[in-house]
Amino acid sequence: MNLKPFILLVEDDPAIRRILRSLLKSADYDTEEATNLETGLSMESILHPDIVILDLGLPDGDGIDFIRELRKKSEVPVIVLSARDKETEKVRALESGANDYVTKPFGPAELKARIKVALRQIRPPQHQGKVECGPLQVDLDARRAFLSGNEVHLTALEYKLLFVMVQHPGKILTVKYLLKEVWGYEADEQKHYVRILAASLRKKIEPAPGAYKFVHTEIGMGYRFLE
Amino acid sequence: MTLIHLRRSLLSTLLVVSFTVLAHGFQALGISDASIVLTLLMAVVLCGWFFGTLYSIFAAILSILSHSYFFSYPIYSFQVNDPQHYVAFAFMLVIGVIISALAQRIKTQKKSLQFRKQGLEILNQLGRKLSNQIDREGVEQIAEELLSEVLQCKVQVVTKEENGDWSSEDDPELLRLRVVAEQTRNKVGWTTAIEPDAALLVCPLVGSNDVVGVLVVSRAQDLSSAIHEKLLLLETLSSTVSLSLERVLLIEESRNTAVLMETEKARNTLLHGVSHDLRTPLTVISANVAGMLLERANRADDPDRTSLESIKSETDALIGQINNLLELTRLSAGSLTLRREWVPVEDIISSCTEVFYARHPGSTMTVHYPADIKLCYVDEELMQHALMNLLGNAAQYGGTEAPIEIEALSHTNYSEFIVRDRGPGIPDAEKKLIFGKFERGSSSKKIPGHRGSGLGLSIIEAIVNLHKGNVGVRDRQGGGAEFWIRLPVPESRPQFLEQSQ
Repeated sequence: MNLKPFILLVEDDPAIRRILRSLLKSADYDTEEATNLETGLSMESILHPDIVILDLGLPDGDGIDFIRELRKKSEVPVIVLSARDKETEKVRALESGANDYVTKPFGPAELKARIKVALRQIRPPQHQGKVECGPLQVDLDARRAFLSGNEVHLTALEYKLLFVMVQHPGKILTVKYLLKEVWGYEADEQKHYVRILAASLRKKIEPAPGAYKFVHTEIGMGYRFLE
Repeated sequence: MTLIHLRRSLLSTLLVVSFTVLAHGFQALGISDASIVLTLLMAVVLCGWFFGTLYSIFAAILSILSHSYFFSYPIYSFQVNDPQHYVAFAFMLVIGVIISALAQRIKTQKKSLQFRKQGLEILNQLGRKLSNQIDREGVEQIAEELLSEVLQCKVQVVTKEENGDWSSEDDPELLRLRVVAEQTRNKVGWTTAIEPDAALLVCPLVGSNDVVGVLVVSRAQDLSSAIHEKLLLLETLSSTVSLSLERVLLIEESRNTAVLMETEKARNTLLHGVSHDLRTPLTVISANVAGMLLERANRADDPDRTSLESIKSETDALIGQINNLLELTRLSAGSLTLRREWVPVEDIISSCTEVFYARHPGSTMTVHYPADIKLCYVDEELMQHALMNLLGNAAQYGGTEAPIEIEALSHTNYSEFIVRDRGPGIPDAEKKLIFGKFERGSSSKKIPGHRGSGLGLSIIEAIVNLHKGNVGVRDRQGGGAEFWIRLPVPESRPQFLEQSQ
């Protein structure tokens, strides 16, 4: 039986709640609502939603703390809503464990697309076997990659980056996170390593320049691997 | 022969006569001839001291005659027997001349010193009085008063207006002299080599860079005495006046600038606050209407649907314009901290194209960037915003007939981003203007249903300026417009060495 995906909204603004409710209903999702962070946390642990949509502008607390608390016990995908001029908040949210962000005011189509992406991420992390993303195939055992059947020669670092990305499809991975995962560095000064490596990975696995299929840049945030 | 000459001749003669009588007296007492000569010499010396070289010579001649007549044998005749008297007469003459010359020099020097002392006092006084002045009228008045007093003739101070022009001058001579003085930065007029017959002496007042004004000295009768010193004094005093004048002009200017800056800041803050307050209720309206629309999404013939859609699109357009205004105020206020990083140019280009395709589904774009990985040092969110604005403009004006082109180029010292369209292009006269706030090109009026407050390009310019770069537009070969952004690349481009297993 195919259960309808169930989405928890943590949002205090009734107008936005109304929009979200209609939007999600029209996309055939079930929804529940919490109007503050505390209720949100308890509802999540009781109801186990498939996705949590969290507004960072809630008055009763810091959304970042909510995410951290949440992440202690759950890997549920979190999409944050933030106001347009709270740029640094978004990065902090992503770094503390959020998967994606949408800026208010948001277009319904955009939010729907992001929810779809987040839902697809719900699979256990894969360390073995093969991952297929359209023309791209990654053989995790042999540590090799193929594009439309032809082997792509990746350096050790490029492969590592690809590996990390493939583990978290659809999730925005911050540059800081990638720096730590691939090199083990934490300092800000080496951020360009990630940028250059992502660019060189792209040159090898993207079939066409311009609009990229797999390695997407999220400006100001990081990278997102889409299948 | 003037009265002075007459008087002096008379007095010289009297002196010689007196000393002759005295010498006679000495002779009667048995005093030797040498002393007699010296006594007469005294007369010559006194004449030279008091009356000048001419009279010392006159007195010398009289004394010689007196001596030869009254004292040398044969007495009571001008005949001189003893040749040693000739020597005495010669030296008498010479000594007289020397003494008088010395006397003259001392007198001149004393006068000069006195003048100089007076000058220093005046300079001191001028300096003190001027340092208290904070506006140009005060400086002009003090300078005119003191200088007129010192030079004993009418002195006028003429300064430039605030906008750098001279006030219109009625006196043609003054106008003419002033122009020459300003150009040559030298005194012109009487006492100088240029226009020596003029009735005015015009002395330029030169500050650290510019000529800030002129001193105008009207010709007076007795300025010609000790003229050299007076002109020197004028030079010294005029430089003090120039510096003071420059100081007050700078005070004026900085006051104006401070006022301008305060006004600008206040305006910016007001604009920011108002925009914020306008945006909040509009966002609420938009959100509510969006909710209503979504709820009615399934109802096919809803009579209110068109109205609701219209409300939403108009409200969103307003919100968009307010966001632009807010962004511009933030950029102008300089309160934005740029977060610059080394970013591959293709990252920026690809994210722009993705967003573009999302907003304009079904459109196509041609993308060019360097084959190698090239970095630029930018705040990527702002640069994306700037390029998205350019792409949005291209989509609006360029039409969807021909694809838009976006290109990134990397040169040694700068990165370049170019957006090309096949629209009507920008006329030459407007190429600079369109970047001004609220300006729209003339071709924009031809586009039906066009929106936009004209802030897009000024936001782009503000962003590019923050990066110390340049933005502009040129004609595209084959028709259309080509917008370019150039950003300088700092020297310290990072090197990245890959480690491979």
